[in-house]
Amino acid sequence: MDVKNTDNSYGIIAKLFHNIMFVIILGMIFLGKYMHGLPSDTPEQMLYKMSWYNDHKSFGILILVLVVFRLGWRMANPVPKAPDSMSKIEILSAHAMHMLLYIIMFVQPLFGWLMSSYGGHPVKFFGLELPALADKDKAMSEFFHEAHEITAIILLLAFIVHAAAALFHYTFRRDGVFERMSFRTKKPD
Amino acid sequence: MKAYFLTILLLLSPVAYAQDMPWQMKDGESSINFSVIIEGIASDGEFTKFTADIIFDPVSLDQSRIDILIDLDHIESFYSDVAINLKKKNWFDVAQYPTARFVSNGFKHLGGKDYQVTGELTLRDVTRTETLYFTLTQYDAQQAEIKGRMVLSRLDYGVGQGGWRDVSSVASQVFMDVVVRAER
Repeated sequence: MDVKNTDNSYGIIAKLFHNIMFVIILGMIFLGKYMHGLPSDTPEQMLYKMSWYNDHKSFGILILVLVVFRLGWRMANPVPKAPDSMSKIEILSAHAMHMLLYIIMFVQPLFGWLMSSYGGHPVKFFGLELPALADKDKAMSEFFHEAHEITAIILLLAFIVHAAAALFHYTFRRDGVFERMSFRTKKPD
Repeated sequence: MKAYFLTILLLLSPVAYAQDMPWQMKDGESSINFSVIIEGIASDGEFTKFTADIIFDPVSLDQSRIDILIDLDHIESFYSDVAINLKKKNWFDVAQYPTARFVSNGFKHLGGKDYQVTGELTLRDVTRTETLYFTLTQYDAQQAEIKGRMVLSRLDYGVGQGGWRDVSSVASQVFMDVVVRAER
């Protein structure tokens, strides 16, 4: 298996980016939902809740860093070609979905960071305090809180469509599109 | 020049203007914000519903009075947990004590545009004397605005019971930032 992408398949680096980010992002969406609903009726409960918020922020910054490197890597590599059996519309919608996923993966953590900064709350990357992106502003903080939740929903929906398309290629088309991003080899006919 | 004119006008009229003309607070331009350190981070919120009865005249401070009534059921905060918790039994206990009240008992000019007003603050079942330091940012015949700050200790009023007495979690010192804009 190649480290770099080829015309037929993604390389090891691209696959690692894909799978690691998949696990972190999906976990983050559910963690976001979970921690938001945690009670804080006692100081202990509040500390517990805040510790999850800190973890959520750390992994959010990690995603932001990863997506920048991932995009850089994608640009420095050939993108595997779509099989001839795919129609123009299918190829176009696949590209549009990939573009959407990249945009959301970038803005989602950025909105979270802005929401914290506008709210006057520090963002730490596993303990290392990062600069605030903006001065305190309650209305702006609320705006980005909403935006952060909305992009999470869009991301989840986009992910479902993306995964469904991949499984469609795997089970029905059997055109090797799924296997390009997999560590598995294509099932023999 | 305007100040001289006003002074002369006031000297010429010994009638107590202050008593005759109460100020009407402008809701949308008045605010009471609070700030407290929670786990080392300044966290803040706002009391969004309150009324103020104001009689104020910088040249007759002994006649001036202010009575602020805060509806504790209307609180907003950046972290929604703060607003939700504050209404509960361990904090303001809104079901039992729905309002907070500040009734002045004396104004004092500190120099320039700076003043202080001491008064009785009632929170839960405790009444204590507190001081609001404020700047008279605007004052003319129809419009007046004050911007002030009161620093108080929540534990003096039993706000934050049980485990919440721990000041390493939530600091005792609370900063109240008050803006009152009024017209008459």
